[in-house]
Amino acid sequence: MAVELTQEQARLSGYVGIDAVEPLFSWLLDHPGGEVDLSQLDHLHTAVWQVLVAVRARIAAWPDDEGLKCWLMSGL
Amino acid sequence: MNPLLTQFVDESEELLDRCYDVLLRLEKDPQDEDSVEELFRAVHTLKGNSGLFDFPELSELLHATEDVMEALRSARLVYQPGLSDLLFRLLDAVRQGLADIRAEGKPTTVIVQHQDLMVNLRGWMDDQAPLSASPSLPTHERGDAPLLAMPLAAQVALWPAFETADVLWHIAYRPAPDTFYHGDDPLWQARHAPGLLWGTIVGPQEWPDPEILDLYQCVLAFHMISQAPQSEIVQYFQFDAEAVTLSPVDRWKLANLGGRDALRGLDENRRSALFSLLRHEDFAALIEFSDGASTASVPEKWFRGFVHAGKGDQDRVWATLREWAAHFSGEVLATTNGLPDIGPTREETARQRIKQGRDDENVRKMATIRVASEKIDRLMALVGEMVVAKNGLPYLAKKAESEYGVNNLAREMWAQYAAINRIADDLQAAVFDVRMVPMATIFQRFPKLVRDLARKLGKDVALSIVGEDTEIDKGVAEILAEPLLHLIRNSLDHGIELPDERRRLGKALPARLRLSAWYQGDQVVVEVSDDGRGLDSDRIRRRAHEKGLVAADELQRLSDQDVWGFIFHPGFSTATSVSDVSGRGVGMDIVKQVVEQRGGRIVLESRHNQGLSVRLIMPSAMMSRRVMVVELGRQSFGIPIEDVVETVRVAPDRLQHLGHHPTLTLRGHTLSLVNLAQVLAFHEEPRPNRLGEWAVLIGRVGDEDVGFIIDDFRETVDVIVKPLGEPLAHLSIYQGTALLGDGSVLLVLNLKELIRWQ
Repeated sequence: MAVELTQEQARLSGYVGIDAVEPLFSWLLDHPGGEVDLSQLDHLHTAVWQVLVAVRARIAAWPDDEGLKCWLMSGL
Repeated sequence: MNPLLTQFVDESEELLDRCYDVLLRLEKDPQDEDSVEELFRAVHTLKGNSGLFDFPELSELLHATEDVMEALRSARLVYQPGLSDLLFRLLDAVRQGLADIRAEGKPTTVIVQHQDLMVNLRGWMDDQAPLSASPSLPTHERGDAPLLAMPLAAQVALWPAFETADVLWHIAYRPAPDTFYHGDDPLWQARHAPGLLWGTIVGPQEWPDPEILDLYQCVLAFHMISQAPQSEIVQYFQFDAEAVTLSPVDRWKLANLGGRDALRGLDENRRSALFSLLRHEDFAALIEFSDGASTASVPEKWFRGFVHAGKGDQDRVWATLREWAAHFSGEVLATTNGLPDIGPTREETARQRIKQGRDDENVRKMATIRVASEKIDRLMALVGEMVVAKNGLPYLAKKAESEYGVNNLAREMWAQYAAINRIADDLQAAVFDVRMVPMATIFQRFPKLVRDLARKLGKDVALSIVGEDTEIDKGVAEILAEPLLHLIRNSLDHGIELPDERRRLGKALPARLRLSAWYQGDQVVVEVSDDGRGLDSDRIRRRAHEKGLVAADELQRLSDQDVWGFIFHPGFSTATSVSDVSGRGVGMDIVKQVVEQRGGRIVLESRHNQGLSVRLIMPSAMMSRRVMVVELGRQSFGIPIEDVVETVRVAPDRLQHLGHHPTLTLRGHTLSLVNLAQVLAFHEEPRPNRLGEWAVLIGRVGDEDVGFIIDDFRETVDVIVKPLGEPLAHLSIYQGTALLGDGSVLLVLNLKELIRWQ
């Protein structure tokens, strides 16, 4: 799984599938001030993104992949 | 036609006139809310009135128009130049429809064009309402609202695609809530859609609380713009077809999304350079401008894309640019004209004043009543008869005195006559006054005509109207409409140059065309002037020679004024090709004929390459005319006093004959003589007086003096000349008839026609 969860940060990288939804969701609820790093991300499942938006996660870094970055930023 | 229907047609025509006015105003200032409001009210009244009659097509058309106006009024629809074209077409159809009702009882034109206009109108509504839901999409989400949020930078990428792809597709993809259970990842699906140019993710309006969030229910939707062919997109989404809607992207709608921002984003110098380009509408220059940006800023890139993509529809590019420019200038004006919370801005004050003026106008309008013009004509005829009957009283008084010797009675009759005379004069003046109409009634039809014609001919023309309050007799006004139309057409077609040529000549753009009217004594001057080519004297000379109107040796002796006079010759036209605007060689001769028939004259003033002014000098009222009564074959005839140069008595031996033609030499000038009795086929010789002298009336015919041999001169009288009615109306040698004080009828001659007829 390309999700690394630490005390301060959740780092998503490569391809993040739907199986990451539950652990990420729990982490977000447990760490209300936690930041999310998407810089190394190639793609994330719709459900994962949906969770990040729903809890208004703080995005510390947007994907380096310009295409993905455009998609994600456009909807906020 | 029943009275109610007549009233409907009358009122509707008046409302239509108003609509034309307001629409022209709106075209100049699309932000003018008062205009929109006024137009809406006028159309609303028209529609309401039409509902009283069984004209379903007319009512439906007006209803659809009202919808458009309502959308404009509530700002659901943005005013665009193309809209006014459509509205003008619609008003034209309604106007013609009203004429049809008058003529045949039903609005035939409207019935015929109904379908076409309706499709256009509805199409406009669907096409141009970016904020309303398109019918193919579910209504819980605003149709293409996500496109509204497209950043300028993203739009830049679309323009080149518009150049290559036939159509760009807006893909709205709303996956079913349980889509994750089917193993789908809609974001992946969306990101890999074919031909993708741009995409965005749209969440629900309100997110549920994180605690109760269902992690496995999809609440996101996706909007994309793709340049792939429709078939490819359909195939790509074939397994989720019901979640996808496709609609073509309207580039003009897109342009309107970003255009104003892009304009604001331009460097100020560049912006003013762009505005100045608007005046000449040179597309090559616009392309050059858009390619020549020194920076690669997003607004610059946006403009370059927009301009290049618009090559195929240049008119619309210009119209769109002009609208943005107007909008931009409006904004600048609003921010520099003072703070609104301190007091009304200058603009607001002006608007209020205009509105106030209009309210006053409305009040004034209520104080008037509508009278059929036939009733006024009848009143006028009665007044004329009364003037004549009144003139019988002096005869009677004289008779009482001389034949019956009742001097006291005669004196009382004279006193009575004086009173009746005064009242009759006042009455006549009052009726003439009723017949006076402002020139505006004629002028108001021209702004639209000039606009349409100029556009058709590709000319850039600004029309100004001066003196529209000048009042003129209704009859004179009516006959002026056609001559003015000819003159304006000529100006636009022949006088005013194409923008390129004007630029080359260093002349101002837009070209000026001016319609003005003013009083000159008891006459009214109506002038059509332009700053175009003016008359080309040399060309007219050549043409006159070709047409055999003048001998070669005489050509150079003619003054410019004389030469210009040739343009009034029937069939004379220097235009090398016949256009459907003018140039058929009919027109100027008709202008002259019509004007002269009503006792008017024409003055030309032309300067080569600086312009032409044509002045029609008309009697302001159809006042009584002064005619000289002459005797001929024991009958009386009238000759308008303005045609009479002088009256002379000549002994028969002073006549000379040139061939069979009698002439008279008077103070060194040789005049041709016409035996009027002969022309009018009286089989009598002229009767000389006791001294054996003939009476010769020297009349002015065109530019020439001609002597007319008659029996005797009598007094001059003021009469009201009425044109001959059918079946004698074709007898052009008579201007008309007038009643004399003793009740006899006077035939008033038309000298010019007499000469032609002879």
